Amino acid sequence: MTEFSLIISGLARKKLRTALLLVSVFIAFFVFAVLAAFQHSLARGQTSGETRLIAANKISFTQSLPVSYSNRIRTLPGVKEVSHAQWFGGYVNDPRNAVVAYAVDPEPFLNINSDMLLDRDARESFLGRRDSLLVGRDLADEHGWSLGQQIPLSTTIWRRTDGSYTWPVVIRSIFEAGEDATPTNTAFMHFEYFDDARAFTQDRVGTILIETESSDLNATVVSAVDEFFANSSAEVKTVPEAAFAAAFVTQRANVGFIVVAVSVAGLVTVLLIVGNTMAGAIRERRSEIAVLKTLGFTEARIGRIVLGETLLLSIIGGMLGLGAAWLLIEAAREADPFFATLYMTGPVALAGIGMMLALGTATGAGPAIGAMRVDVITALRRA
Amino acid sequence: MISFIRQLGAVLQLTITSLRSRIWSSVTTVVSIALVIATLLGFLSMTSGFEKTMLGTGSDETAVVISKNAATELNSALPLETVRLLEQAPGISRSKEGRLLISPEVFVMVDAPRRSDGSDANLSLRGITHDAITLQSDFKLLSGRLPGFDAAELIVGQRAAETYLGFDEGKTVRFGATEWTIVGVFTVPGSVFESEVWAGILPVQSLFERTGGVSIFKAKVENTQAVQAIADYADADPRLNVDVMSEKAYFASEVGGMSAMVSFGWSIAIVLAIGAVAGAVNALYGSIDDRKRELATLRAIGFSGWSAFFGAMFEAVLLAGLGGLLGASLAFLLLDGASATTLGGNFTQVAFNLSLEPVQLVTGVLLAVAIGLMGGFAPAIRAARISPLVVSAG
Repeated sequence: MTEFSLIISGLARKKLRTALLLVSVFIAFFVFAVLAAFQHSLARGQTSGETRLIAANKISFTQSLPVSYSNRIRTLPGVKEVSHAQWFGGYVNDPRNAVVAYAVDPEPFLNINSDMLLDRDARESFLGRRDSLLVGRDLADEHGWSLGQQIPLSTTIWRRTDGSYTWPVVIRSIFEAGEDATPTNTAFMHFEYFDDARAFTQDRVGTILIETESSDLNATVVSAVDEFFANSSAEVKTVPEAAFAAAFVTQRANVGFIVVAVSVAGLVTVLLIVGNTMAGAIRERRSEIAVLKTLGFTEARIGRIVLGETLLLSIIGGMLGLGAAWLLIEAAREADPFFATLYMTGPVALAGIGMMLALGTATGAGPAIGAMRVDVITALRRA
Repeated sequence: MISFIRQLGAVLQLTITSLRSRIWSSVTTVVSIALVIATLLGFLSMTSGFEKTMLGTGSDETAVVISKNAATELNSALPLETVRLLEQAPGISRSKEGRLLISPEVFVMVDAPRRSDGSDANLSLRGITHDAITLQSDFKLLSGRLPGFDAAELIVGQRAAETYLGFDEGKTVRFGATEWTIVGVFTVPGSVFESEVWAGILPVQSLFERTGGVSIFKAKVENTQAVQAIADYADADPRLNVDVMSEKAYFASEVGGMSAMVSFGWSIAIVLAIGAVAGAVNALYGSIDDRKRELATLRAIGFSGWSAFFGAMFEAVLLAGLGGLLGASLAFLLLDGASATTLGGNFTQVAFNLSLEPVQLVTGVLLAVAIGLMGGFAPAIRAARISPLVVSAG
């Protein structure tokens, strides 16, 4: 009999016990992998291969910038396209009926967001009229909107010179999600149409979207933009688009701490459960181990077999856990734009594998030593 | 029936006595369940701590006015004309000197580096007049002095001073092109204001280009009904496009902001609980196997299967319950009162103390008992089915 088949028969001895241990290990690695992937995707935002940056007022993104900054940024080397974007704070009829809407510089905006699926006609009809609204498929379906329909788009923030808070807009185009699952729960209106009517903060914008020639130039463009406006009346801070979004999550809760605390709780739990159960399993096999010893198995070999059992257990359970986490992550990315940057990354998978080996060794070491020390005479006499 | 109760009594006693021989396996079950419960309570302590701070902020006898549908002061803009009309609203209290007790305030968000990791976070900067302090009756200056209301000077809430780097008395901080001097530290105990920095309204308006109006208008009112009187006054005047509510109601409306955290905490706890159930099932099967002969002996001398079943369930619930108590105590000792921050309704950082209420601790213990019931069921059935013949077979 090979060592491997002895390991398998050890695990197969009590199938229910092995299955239950696998469930415990599976859960711990599943929870770890989902949380770590989430945290890693937040952190990765800083250095992602994206070519999109967001410039905002250095004081805070809620402070405005002169709209003229767009054109000045466009002249900087490494910059491919620039569009300003103003958060509209939109709703339809009732403030609880919120609509995620921005006022943008239409043509550059479409150039930057080339991943939106929009055919030529749809593009032209959005650009052609200043009261056009470009709507994502999900948003249009949610409200039952169709092309050509006029809707009153109201805002919780902006007052018009006529005292009202509503911009009448016409739905001229609907965009679909592109290959990288662009969120389609948003709407975009022409900045000029919006700006001409508002009562305050005219000619100012909240953020400026920048597309760079290549992601290698991101760092250069970031410092060029920030330095260009240094010591002006409105200084600028530029960050990658993903980092801008990640700040909202990391400020909401200490994600790093939660991930570490929950993962540790899960892993310590399985460490205890597997370690304790395996110790029991080996105790109950003392006489068999004594038989193996009489048959000439060395202590090292017996140690390897026991350790092999716990290692195999944590690798199978752990791999299933990572696999399930991967499936969940893929599904979450499809289902909700909030998870658009969520991926099971290499470092997370590697950390998971490292912990499987550590768990297998830690839970197997005690029982393995116990098995190696089994005294043939006493063990066989007892049986 | 009486004999069943007697049998049960004997079995429970036996279970407890025999626990000592399975001490490590029992400790494992207890600790693994304790960790699950502590994790759940960790999430719940965030939401209840945040709620406590929100509900602890604001007074019933202060009316708050923001622009219609803005929901938060961050979105709100009240033109100066609106402020002038609001000053004429009925029911506003006056000071001894006959001054209207009102507080127009400008709210802006500024980026400031956190002490914890140096990353920028959203800090609330509030431009105030002196009566903002009169309206917050719990306001206390801990050190330094009040800001000059026409100079670029700040006072820092106690919690903001703890949270942000460089916000110490005597230092200067820079927002955009302007240097601000920190001249004092204040507290409004248990409120969100402790996470803010305050300055005179005039320098905030001019340096942040808000000269055309204010964000929020607060007024001390004579009684709680006067809030409604102001709301009616505003509704009757077509020039006033505003929402009126009590300050207490305004902050209470932000309590729901952490509901995602509650669902997230429960999801994690339930997934971890599945792992703990699997562990408990294993430990209890082990326990039944260890005591096979003992249980068979009981059956042989006339004990019913039911008493074996309840004996095993008792062991499961006892261990799980202990785990729940341990987890709840750990969570309470380590977390209750610890400091944390999150984003409040204004999208700015609110510092608060984690807090665990009795109802949450009980929920934690109940979840532990549920884990015990689920983990104990199958092993208990096996215990009930042990044949008296095992005695001779062993």
